[in-house]
Amino acid sequence: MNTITDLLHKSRLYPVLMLDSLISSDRRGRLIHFCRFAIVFLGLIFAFYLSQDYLPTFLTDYLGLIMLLKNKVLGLMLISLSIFMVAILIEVYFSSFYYLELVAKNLYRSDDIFTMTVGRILYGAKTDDLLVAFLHSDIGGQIIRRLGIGRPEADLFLATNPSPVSAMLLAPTDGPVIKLKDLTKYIFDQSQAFREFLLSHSAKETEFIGAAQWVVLGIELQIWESRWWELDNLTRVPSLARDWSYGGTYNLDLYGRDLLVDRETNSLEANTTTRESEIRQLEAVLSRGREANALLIGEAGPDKMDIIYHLAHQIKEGQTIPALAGKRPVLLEVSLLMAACKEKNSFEQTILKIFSEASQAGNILLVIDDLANLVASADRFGSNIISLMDSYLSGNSIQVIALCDTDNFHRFIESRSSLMTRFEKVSLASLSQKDITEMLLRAIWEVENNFKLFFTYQAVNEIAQGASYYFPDSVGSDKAIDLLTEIAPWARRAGFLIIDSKEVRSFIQNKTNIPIGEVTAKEKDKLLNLESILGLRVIGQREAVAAVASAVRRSRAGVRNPNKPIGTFLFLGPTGVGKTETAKALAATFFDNENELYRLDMSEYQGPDAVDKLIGSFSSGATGVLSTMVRDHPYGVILLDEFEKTSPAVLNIFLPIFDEGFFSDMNGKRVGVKNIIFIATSNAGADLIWEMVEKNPNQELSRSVLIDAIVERGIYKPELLNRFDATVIFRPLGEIELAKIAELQLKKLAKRLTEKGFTLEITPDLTASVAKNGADKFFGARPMLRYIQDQVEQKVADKIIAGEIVAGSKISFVASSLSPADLEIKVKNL
Amino acid sequence: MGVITILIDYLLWHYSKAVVSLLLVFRNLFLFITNLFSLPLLFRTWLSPWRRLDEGYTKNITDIGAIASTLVLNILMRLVGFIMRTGVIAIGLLTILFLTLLLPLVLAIWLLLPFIIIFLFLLGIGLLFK
Repeated sequence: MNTITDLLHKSRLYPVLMLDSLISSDRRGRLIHFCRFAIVFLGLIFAFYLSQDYLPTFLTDYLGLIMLLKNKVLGLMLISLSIFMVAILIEVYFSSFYYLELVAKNLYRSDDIFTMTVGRILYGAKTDDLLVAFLHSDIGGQIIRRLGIGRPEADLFLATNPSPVSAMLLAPTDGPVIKLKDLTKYIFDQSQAFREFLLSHSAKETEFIGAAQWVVLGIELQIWESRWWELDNLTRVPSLARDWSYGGTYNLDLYGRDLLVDRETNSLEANTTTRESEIRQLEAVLSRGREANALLIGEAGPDKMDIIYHLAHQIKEGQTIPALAGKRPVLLEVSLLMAACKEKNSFEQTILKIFSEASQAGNILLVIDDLANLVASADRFGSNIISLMDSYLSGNSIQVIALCDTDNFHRFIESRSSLMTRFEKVSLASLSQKDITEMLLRAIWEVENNFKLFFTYQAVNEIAQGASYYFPDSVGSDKAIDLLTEIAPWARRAGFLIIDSKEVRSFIQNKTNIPIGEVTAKEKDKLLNLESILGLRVIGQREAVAAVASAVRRSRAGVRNPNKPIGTFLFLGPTGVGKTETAKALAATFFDNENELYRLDMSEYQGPDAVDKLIGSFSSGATGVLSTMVRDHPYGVILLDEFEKTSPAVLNIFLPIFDEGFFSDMNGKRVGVKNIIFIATSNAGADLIWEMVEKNPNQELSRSVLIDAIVERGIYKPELLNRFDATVIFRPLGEIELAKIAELQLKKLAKRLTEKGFTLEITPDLTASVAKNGADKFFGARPMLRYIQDQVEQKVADKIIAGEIVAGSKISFVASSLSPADLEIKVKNL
Repeated sequence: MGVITILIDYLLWHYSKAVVSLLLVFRNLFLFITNLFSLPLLFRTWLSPWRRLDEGYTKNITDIGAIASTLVLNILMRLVGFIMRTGVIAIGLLTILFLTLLLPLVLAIWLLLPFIIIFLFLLGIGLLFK
């Protein structure tokens, strides 16, 4: 039987754990502090005694009692000193075992049974229940706190008497001893009540294990920092006189920045990186005897420079490989150089000077911030820069790292084989969300310290998710760090001290306008009554309104597919039945702003250049309308008006857009559309809709008949129609609906007039006339606005000009006595 | 029983692992001093010009004046480099010497520390009740 006591007794760490429980870490700290104070205090008194011969007599007479107690003082001081030394020795003894776990993990032997952290939890157990021991332990408390669970909640949970977790099956899973990871996983697997408790606080297994590892990592780093005598910590002190053996770089310094003294080198991004693999590749290339040149290729964005800053940071801290030790990384800013060079000669001379100086200096790691720009600019001057640099690049006197965006690499660099032979390519892999979370976990302590905040593990996960999900155009790691540094001051201002996932979501909602925060009571009411809210604006289209409302609710509840646009709808129906109005109502409801509707008239994309116009052209370098629109407004509703009128090639572009939530622009760069609602409106099949309505005015329209007809006519392919979340059929409007629309439009006019100080009375005559004369069988309610403009607004305007309508006037329209079809204006002044 | 177990375990640690750790700390300190004063680099470049400030000689061997002036300048730069580096090397070596002398002292203190503590404690008690 493997009880906790058995495990403890069998372990080699038992004596040290016993000592730890006898004199806990806190007590040891207090004892050391007290002894230190006593030694100093008694030492001062003793010093007073030693210097009595030099002190004035009146003072020594006055303090005669102290003089008499000199032996006692010395005795007390020696006792304090011996206790102090014992306390220090115990501390060193204890930390040397702790060190086994933290730094030299491979030094554990199987007869240790468990690590010190696990040992402390087990030793603290009062019963044979691992769950209680874990939750009562200091580290267990820290872990659950990182999951957003406070001590009172844990106590309440324990008060429900969850089934005990015995240590019977507890065994190491990886390595010779039981680690904290094994213990946490074991407790999680063994206790269903604990699993449910965690789940009720939005913590699943990954969060629980992740939080445990995060807490351990924090302790490890803290202890590692305090061990100043470790070689890694000692080498952080910069070497003296290293520069004396290397030359200066006057010309390079004019166009460059010394990265060792650059502020960015000490930034949060430089301290933490998820790019260990790329850095190792760079180090391998730079360690070569000759041609130690690396070409770092990645998406446009700061990730490439972050790697360089991290490398510079490591060089500065003396923690890099021998080939880079003592190097001076200097960033050559190509744009600065190009701005200074006016013609070929000065450009070539400057380049030669820079390389020759850097080469002679002997310790330069030259970083070219934009190789493509350098090469392209040299081309413009008609200069062969590759041959100018070649002798330096092929030698062993200089190491070069050149940075280049992926698209520019393909455009300007890849085809130049003479240049490519001198550089070794290092490509930046795209970061997984796990990598980003890991980087954030390391970066967060500094932010917590600076802003006196506390982040839960779920909040960190939410930041990592939010960065890649809601800011698809940005480079993940950079955006995540940006989000983290933006959330901290926002949270301070908002008065939050603990940041959980809901605070992160609220922040992202504030920033993007996408409703993802906690559903408030007001919003809940709005969401549940969405159909009636939309129905106030969109008249007579119950099916359309229901489809749109469902999509909004799905998205808001967070159950939509995260790898597709928020929603994709095809609105089919005749002109003037409310398709565009529905799109506007959707933008106003979902993004709380009608202006978040962006319109593309698809009839403009018909010719052979339609695709180029939409997503850009590689050959001409022109950017596309859709690419620009999405980049400028990554959150909103895009209305694809008259969708059937565009070319089949353009329709094909939308297949992956609707399916995968992104498309590639002219440079092959991904443009994310995951935060967009696409609404395609179309008159396709309008004749059929009319036909169906005329045959059976009160019957539901047959979707299958309509869609079959559209496919048969070759307007849309079935694969495109299948990619829409919903194909919504808009019915032609009847008289009742038209009257309601007329009333709605007139109310809008009345509101405008009220703002001017006039009152428009909406009479039944007026409504009936607008509904009858303003609507058209084929154009629906579309001509209604024109009618109101001509028949109502114009008459009001004429009267205002004539001075017959003044502030306070009451205006009404009645059917003309001469011609009942016309309206007659009546004005009543107060 | 518990206290005796702890004491035995402690003494075993004090005279085995702890001594090894102490030697490792000294090794780290030696490496640190070597790195701090850049000793390997300064030895390698002891006679090199100060900050590589040397000039190339003219190809015209008849221009004795120019050659002599370059020669003087280069010798001067090497001299400056030599003097400065010698200073730093001397300080570095002295620090290493100090560490070397400190090592046996610290080791002796460590080995005797349990006895020193007992001695100081008893002495303190003795003085207190004198």
